[in-house]
Amino acid sequence: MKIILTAVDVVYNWARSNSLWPLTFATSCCGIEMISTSAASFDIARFGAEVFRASPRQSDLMITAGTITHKMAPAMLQLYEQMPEPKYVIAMGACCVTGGMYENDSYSVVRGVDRIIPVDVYLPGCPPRPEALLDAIIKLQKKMKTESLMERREFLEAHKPKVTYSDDRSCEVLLPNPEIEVIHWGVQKTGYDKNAEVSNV
Amino acid sequence: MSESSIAIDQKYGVKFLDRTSDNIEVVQVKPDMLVETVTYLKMNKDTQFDVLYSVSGVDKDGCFEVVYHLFSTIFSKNLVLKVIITKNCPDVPSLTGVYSAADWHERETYDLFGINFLNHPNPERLLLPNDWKGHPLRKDYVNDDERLSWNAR
Amino acid sequence: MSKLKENIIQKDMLINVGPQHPSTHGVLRLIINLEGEIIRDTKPVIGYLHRGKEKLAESRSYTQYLPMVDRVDYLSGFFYQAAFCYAVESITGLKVPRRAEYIRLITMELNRIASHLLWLGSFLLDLGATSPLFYVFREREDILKLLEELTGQRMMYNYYTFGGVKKEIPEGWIAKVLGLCKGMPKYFDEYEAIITKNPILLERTKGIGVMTPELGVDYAVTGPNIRASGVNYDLRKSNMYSVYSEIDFNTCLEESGDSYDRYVVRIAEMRESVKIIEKALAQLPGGIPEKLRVKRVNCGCKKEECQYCGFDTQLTGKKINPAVFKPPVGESVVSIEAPRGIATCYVVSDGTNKPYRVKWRTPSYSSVQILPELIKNRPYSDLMPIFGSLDVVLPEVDR
Repeated sequence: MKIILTAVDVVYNWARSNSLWPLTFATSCCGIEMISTSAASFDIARFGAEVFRASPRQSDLMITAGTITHKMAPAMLQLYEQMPEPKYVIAMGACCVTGGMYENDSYSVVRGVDRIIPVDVYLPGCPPRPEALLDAIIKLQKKMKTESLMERREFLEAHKPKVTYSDDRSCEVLLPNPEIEVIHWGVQKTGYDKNAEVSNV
Repeated sequence: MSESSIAIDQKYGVKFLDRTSDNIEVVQVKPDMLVETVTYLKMNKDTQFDVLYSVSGVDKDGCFEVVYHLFSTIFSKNLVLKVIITKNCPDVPSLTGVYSAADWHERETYDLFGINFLNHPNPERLLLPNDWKGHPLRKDYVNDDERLSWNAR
Repeated sequence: MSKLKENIIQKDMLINVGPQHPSTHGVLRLIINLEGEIIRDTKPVIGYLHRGKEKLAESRSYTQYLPMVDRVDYLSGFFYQAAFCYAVESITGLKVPRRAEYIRLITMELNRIASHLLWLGSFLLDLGATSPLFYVFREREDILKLLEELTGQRMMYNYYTFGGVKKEIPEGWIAKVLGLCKGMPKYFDEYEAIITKNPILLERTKGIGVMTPELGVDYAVTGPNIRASGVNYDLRKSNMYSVYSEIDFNTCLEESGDSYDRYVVRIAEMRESVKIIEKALAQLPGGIPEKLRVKRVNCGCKKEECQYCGFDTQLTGKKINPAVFKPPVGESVVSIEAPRGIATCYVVSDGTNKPYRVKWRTPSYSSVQILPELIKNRPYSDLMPIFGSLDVVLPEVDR
């Protein structure tokens, strides 16, 4: 598919890139720098990203700020799957880029968030300064302005995770679509009786 | 107990070990007398240790040590209790009846070391996912969880 | 668990306040059993940020572990560094010069103010008021600029070392801190003018989440949370680590133990911290670094007790060589009064250059543990005032 930038695409991309709505996904220390970026001194509102949505259904940028552990990864993947396309990811901080200082021998840290979801901009630093996060957003805006949506769809299809059901699905997080298979993860058994809840779904 | 400044009744069979570097006393207690000793330390008006602020495990050569840190808000004194158990049978009675704070600390010690606390109301893993295999803070821990495959390219 | 099952079949609802939520405290998951709008039972699930800090200590040397200590609680990095440094110094028998102790105290109190400011912003953001967040970050950026000038980093300072601090205070820094301290009470008055008598805040927090002293002490809750219930438990007064014995300040206590009192205690603590910093700067051994340098050159005597060249005006006691730093066999427990409560570091050393066991006991652990007790039988809208006023930071809980 060749890159064809029509006038419609230019306007469309300009509108999309200047009104990115991030998702509040702050796990750890980088989350505080993200909040600092949205506060008074380093204003993120001038780049259009002021509205931090809490719900993934209404956001189109996920800034993963903070360490991702094996227990948190399925939740993050589910959030990513719930975001509507076109969606973008900035991996903020050393822990999200490669695992950071825990990369050597931690037993429960995922070495880099791109093992789970596709990443557009990598932002190193521990934690990166707020100006660095603004720099990452500007680079992402530049990337958005030069792409067409056909290419984006192919990029996302190539990164869809291949996961399998486990036989013992005693989890209480409602799955978005039973046709999509789910990663076998360590779920919390709380005695939740699946049969009792089926009528409410 | 001549070196200890805290008068614990002889019938509890408590052994005085030594002092930490900051002059806090370390006292060894037998596992089966643990609950009575701690109740005595909490209720007796000369000692009144009303805060249990930490329960941790140490994996020493050949044995496990469960270390309890007690503090008294009335006298501003610290005390360290140790219970030494074997690796084959790591069972210690639980202190949740005496201090409610012991609940999560004991769950975490079970999670990371595999030490069983008898009569604990909710002995589940706390920090790691429920189906994690192994106890990470033991010295002979080898990480062979299936989630490691996520770290391979 | 079977009680939960029969509740589900009747009329109760099990909802999941998931690991990702718009509050800024971190990744905590609460599984709440609701009957209508009243919370009947809560089960907190933690561990979403468990990075294994205690295990990582066993494969790194003492100085290699120091940068990782900041990240246990990133909002109060100096306190955790202090706990670890005091523990290792106590095992090794290193003495810390008084100038370094004063610098440690000043930086710790600045960090306390910054941490309480962030708590204030996020507490009110959870309640729905978005403007205090911007006010608060204005001050926090000033403090972080000062600390960046001193240490080079905005949040993870890595400034203390075994035996003292790493670098001398830069020129003009003390004047800037004094200027900030002079302006701070005015800013606190600004916040109090829009927050303290606000009718919405009073309705939502007065009488909500009352923690009796017995319940708090039983769950080992420490810090401003227990001082708001009337228990006078402040390690800066009772334990007097560092040089707190030479500085005079008041402990802030309130009586009723509800969420409003926890707010009042923290504002009062911020004001006390400003006074502590001013007093400590007046008493700094050696004074301003430019003058100290000049006097040292003029004096040149190199005696121990000398006021300008002696031990007390150095920055580190004995310069340790990180490659061969081996504490003797022993163990040590050190508790520090962090902004959220009492943080304890338990270090076991076996004579090699790597620690044998490091255990962190963090104050937010007890706060999350007591949360189910405090929100039992309250409407769902009381969850955020209670949880916000407890000042929980999740990386501390999970380590």
